[in-house]
Amino acid sequence: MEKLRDLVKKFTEVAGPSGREEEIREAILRSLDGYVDGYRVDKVGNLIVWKNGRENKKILFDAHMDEIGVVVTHVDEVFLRVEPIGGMSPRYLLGTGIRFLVDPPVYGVVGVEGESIEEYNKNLKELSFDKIYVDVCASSKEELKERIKIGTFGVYDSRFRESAGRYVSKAMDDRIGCAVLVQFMRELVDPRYTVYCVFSMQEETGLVGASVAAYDLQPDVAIAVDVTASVDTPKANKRMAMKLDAGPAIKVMDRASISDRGVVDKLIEVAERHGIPHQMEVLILGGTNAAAYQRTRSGIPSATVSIPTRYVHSPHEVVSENDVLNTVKLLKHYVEEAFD
Amino acid sequence: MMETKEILKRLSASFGPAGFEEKVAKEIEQLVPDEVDEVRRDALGNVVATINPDGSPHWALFAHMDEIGGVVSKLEEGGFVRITPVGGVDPKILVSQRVRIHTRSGVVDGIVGAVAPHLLDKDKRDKVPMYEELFVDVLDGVERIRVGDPVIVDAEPCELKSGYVSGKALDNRASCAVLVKVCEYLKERRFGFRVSVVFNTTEETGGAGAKGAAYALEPDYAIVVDVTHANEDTGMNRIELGKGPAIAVGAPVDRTLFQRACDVAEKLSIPYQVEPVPGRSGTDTDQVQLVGRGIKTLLISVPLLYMHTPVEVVDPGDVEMAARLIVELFMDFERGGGQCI
Amino acid sequence: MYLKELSELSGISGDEGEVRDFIKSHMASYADEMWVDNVGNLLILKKGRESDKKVLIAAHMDEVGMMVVRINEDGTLGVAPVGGLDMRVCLGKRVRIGDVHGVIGYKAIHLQKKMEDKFPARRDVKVFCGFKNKDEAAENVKLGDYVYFTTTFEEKGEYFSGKAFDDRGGCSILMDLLSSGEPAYDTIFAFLVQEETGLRGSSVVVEQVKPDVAIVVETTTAGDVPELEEYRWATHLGDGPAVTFAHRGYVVDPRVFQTIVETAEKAGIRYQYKRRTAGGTDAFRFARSAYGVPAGVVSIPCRYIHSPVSLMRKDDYHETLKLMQLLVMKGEVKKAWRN
Repeated sequence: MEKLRDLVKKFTEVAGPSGREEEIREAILRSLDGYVDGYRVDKVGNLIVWKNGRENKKILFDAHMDEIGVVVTHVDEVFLRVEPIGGMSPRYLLGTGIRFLVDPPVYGVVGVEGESIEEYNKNLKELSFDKIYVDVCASSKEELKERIKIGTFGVYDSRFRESAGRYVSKAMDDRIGCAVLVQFMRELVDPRYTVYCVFSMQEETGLVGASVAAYDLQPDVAIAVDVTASVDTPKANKRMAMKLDAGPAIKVMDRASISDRGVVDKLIEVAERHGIPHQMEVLILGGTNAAAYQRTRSGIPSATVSIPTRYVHSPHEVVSENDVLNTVKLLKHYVEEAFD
Repeated sequence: MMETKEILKRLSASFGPAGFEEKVAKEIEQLVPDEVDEVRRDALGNVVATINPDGSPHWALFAHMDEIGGVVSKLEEGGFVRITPVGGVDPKILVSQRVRIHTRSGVVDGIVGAVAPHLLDKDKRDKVPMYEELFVDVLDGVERIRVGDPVIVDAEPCELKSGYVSGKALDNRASCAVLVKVCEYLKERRFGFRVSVVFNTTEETGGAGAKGAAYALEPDYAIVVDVTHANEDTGMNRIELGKGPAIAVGAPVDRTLFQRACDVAEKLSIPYQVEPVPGRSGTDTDQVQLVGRGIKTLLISVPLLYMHTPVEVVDPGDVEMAARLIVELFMDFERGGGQCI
Repeated sequence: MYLKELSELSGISGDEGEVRDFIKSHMASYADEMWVDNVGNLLILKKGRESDKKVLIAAHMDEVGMMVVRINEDGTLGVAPVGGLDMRVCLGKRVRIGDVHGVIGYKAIHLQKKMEDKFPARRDVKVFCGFKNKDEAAENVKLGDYVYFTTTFEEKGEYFSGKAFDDRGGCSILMDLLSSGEPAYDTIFAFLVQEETGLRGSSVVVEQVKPDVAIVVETTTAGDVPELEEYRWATHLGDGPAVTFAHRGYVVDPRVFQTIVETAEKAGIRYQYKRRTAGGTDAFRFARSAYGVPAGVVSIPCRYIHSPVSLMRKDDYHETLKLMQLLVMKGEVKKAWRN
């Protein structure tokens, strides 16, 4: 079995913005070969895998495959204009390159408009996609059009790094969740209940995949595995409490949903019983696919288990290896005790 | 049978912020049993009562039982905690309030502090505090509190002149009271239709309580009961306290149901007001209408003052008129052959 | 081509009855099955040459407009926009509430001490119908009544102009397709309600018809005017149907997008990309309903949507119809399904 670190590196370096998840879906499927009882890809592109259980209940875990990115909307002479896919902010694009999904790959540098020094500084302060452009070093409009066209997607040009028990890369949100679920499925043997893992599409554009993935599965409980903020950095937000190395965060609430009380209490119980480090999470912004599972048909009791992450939605998201390992442990024990 | 104002006070005092409705659900289950055929709790925590389960057509009533509140989001040194709102809570009204934090081992009291004006910088004195500046001073028992514990303002309901009742959470416990009264009134009538009475969760946070319940029930018609701003200048038709329930008109509501409700009110001289809804209603009606294959919906609202404060005010008379209107609408359909539209 | 009649009918979100009745009566003879659902969508099934897959084609019947929300003491009416109608386009316009005619006036420029450079707040906009007082107004108009622009359809040279082109243009295309013969696959033609007030009618369609793929036919904003730099245009009149790759809340399924683009290219149909990702369509809902239906969007470019007078080119309409005919009637859409 490959090391967790290599799995995370493989997943985070794939380019898979919302709506263009083919490559990451293939990578995930290959890494599960031999570890699942079955799989399918639904009409909108979610990857659903499963392991059958001994007893008659169904647990669903979700991690989304997509990352935030950009899409080319205009060719402006020898430059490109782009718009965000998911919650991509222009501020992180300055100084970071963009890797476009074409073959051969095209890389771009982001610049800011400013016909005077005042205007330039104003644009920097109130940065928006209308005021930036992408330079792919094209020699002419025709040469540009041969390499890349409108409708092409792009992601951060960033690579995986590791240091002192920390992993750093773009797209930890939510490739780290995908890695957790793959590692979990690899370790899960003879589960008590049937486990579905949904690797969902287009979460960043508005929980699209998760809104439909459970429609035919009808699980008894759904748990999203996603990232949450980590506020253990200088003068970080005063109102939140999550930090690295304190274990997986059991989410009480975020802006999109409140976790089902019964599922939360059970997760706490399981963690305490098996001595798994964990923390409670209240996130004052953002949301996860749990909100979408809650709204499926007559409602599925849902919750989220989060991996604390510094610099979410930047090209260099940071997680703790121990938190990731403890998350896998928590899920494995939860599967055995979920309905006691 | 309890007096309406007693039902209101009891429901107002009950604990149930969005996502933590267990206690108020139990309270409601105790208020309805004599009047209905069965009461149960569904997977999302909604309380669902059924009257005449084999009847037809199938009407479903919805009133959300959750209230706004907060959760503890961080523990600070020295016996203080930081909180984050659940639902739309104006931080201005939290200053100098007594609050109650519900922990695993019981209730802990606190006070929402604010730095005394003498000690503030001049420019901060007139500024409204945001959540980052608020904190809860926990008198005793801070070691029992964890991140995620729910918090509400400690507010006793009371009676005002003119019979009005004031308290926290009348949004939407006043509507829950309407549903309780509907069950009482139906006990005195004979009919062939079925009624599902749903006290749903998580409306204040845009949650799926009403949606999930509606999907499972697949009713022929749905009536959502919520509250609406009274005696305020909203730029729209002014709704007033004490002038009867407000019936909504607009895209989220079935036009024929709206017309029928107005006709019934006119015929029986039940006071009512019209509330135009040009876009979204901002209530569970928006979700319930679009469940499954679509449901014909109606929205009836109880006029209420000072929404989302601990001193909301309603007129028990409006609550009773709303319940009467709903029952007479059911009976009007029944007389018209039980089918419509 | 039904755009003239369709655009002149009344159909603000929540009040689509007149438009629905017109489409019903004109399409009944082409329908294999036809029904109106619980929220007012008109759904028409036309059987195809093959039945193993089902295609959903959708356009919305509703237009933006206003609603009467207050009757003032002086007999004027307070109104609020229904859907994304910017109140700025309403000043100095004639309106109609049922049979009652009215105007949205404004203070004469002579009486403005300094030319007022702010548009009035929504709540200060008044409709004057000639009523002397509140009682007279209340006898003729009700809270909740809808307020329509009175624009008539005109054809001049290469252009059409009129109201409600968003999305009577799409409805007209659907009607042209429906009346043109047998589609390749069983096809549901969905005439939707309440799109403008939040993509609502479309939410309940998939549960009823269970399609394999969906294509939304919209009428979309151009922005190709002197006040906007070219790199900020969404579409350009005269460049043919606009194909969307992404919009608010949804990235179009790659197979569906590719199929639409390749169909246009192979047939030599002039087409363009929708070049801004703001705004949304009912594709947002289809992808999120039930088991999830991958959806594409094809739009007729149009200037000044969501205002009393919109402008569309005839050739853009006809090229859009040609593209849809290839996809739906000829069956090119079959390249879009995943499984």
